[in-house]
Amino acid sequence: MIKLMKTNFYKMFHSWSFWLTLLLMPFINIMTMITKNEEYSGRVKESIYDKWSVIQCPETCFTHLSSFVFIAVLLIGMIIGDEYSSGAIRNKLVAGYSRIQLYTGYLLTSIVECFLVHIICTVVCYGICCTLYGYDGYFLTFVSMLVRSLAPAAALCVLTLFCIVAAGNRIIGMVAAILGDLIICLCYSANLSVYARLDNSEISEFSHKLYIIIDSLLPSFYSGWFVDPVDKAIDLRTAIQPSCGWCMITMTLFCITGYIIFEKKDMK
Amino acid sequence: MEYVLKAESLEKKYRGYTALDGFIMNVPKGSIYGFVGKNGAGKTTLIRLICGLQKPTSGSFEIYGVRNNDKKILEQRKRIGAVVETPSIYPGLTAYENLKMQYMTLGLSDYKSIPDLLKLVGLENTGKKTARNFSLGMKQRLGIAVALCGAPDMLILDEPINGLDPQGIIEMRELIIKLNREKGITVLISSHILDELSRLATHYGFIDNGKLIREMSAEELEKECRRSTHIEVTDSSCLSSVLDNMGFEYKITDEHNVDIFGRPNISQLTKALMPSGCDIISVNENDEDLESFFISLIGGSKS
Repeated sequence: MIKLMKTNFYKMFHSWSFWLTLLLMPFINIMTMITKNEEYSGRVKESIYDKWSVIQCPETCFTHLSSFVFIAVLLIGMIIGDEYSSGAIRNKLVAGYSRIQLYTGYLLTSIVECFLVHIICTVVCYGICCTLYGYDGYFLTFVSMLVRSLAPAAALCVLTLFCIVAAGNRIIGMVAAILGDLIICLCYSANLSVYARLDNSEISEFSHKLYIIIDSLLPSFYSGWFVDPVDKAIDLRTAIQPSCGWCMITMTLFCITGYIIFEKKDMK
Repeated sequence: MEYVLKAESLEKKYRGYTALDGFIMNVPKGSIYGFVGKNGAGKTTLIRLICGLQKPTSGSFEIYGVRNNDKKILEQRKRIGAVVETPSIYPGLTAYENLKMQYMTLGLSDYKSIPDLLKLVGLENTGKKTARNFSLGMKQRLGIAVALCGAPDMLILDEPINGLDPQGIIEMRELIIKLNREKGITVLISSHILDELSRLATHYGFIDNGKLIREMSAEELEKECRRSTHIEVTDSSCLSSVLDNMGFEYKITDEHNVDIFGRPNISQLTKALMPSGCDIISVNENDEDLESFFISLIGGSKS
């Protein structure tokens, strides 16, 4: 297994798609951060929420999450899908690896490469944000958001890998993965909407309904905020909060199905 | 005789199509086994089953005495190097990196032998050129180099000389013979180029419609294909006694037809048959090569 992972990581670090994504995503996040800061800089500061803070994090440090589906499909499709299109998967089967070992190796590689891109993007952007605009004291909240974003990220990786393995073809698999991930994100968004309505406290939604409709059209994580009129506190919620259980269900379901399909698949 | 690969009543069915039907095969250790068959006969399907790319519908096979349904088969597969249909190489990596990847897959940490392997297949000067930019022949050589990683005991080559130029074909032949004779590697090679196969193989397996039609050694094939004179007579038993007196080796096909292995003097033969009243009806010369033997075995017309 270690030999297999070593091979997969060697391939990953020699892949142009990995390095391109790793360099491009933080750049996009930083540009978004600078743009958002300019938006806030001209305003009269009435409260602590009118300056740069972690409140703006989902719009900046986590900007890449809005296109995470495409990131995952690109990374996994180019690296794992390449094994199919080049026939290199045959070498590993002939070398004596079982199907379960291979699939587990692909799964771990997919999750690690996507996590690397996600974490590095976020941390680099946050670091630059603190350097440019000062530390805002919300570090633990930032870390919490980062950690909690890993669950749906992993779920999307599992689903993307499943689509590519089931298709047995890189292009078809990547297209199927985009469609599949879109459906899953819509389900997550719908779940959040249902959760919000089950909450007993009076919640006034700040452009919430419109945001849900617009955002659910995109294959992304939903992120919005609720304003509690009683405490006048802003409670930041993302799709990860109610969806951790759904993420685990998604991962388990597609992991097991992926293993079964891969085990029985006739390779050419 | 020790066999490295034995197939017993192997079957592989796809939806509505049977690729292998009760297939039986025995590959002796240390041989170069030439696998001959028409397109769609089942050669590549068999290779896929042996390499673990697909599972048989029924039947079984053994690699080095281990059955395919035994978990230990995975260990035995490590002793095999294979090129299945097309070379399995990463197009975005160089030749050296491709071999390094295969070494890592096999758990080999010493990469010092990679340049020697590249030299063996004639790819030592490719430098930083990625496999994507290789010619078909270069990709084929790289595929074979990948199969040779880890010094396998058995090599499975599916149409290995496809895309090679004449010089490349000669070099490939010499390489296979060298690996077989110097290192004792058993080679299973499928090819349509029968002339080339006839220069290599020590054993042959003829496959048609998913079944093994004939399995024979090169010596047996030579006897079958050797030059003969086909004589049709009125009574083959009279001819046989004359041929025994003349010291010719022959084979009686039926009561009127005899194949004589040699070049008998027809005038002398006619003279010798006259007292017994046996007449010669026709005389034909046969010079069967592997191609015509294959055609006669499998069926079809010679182009």
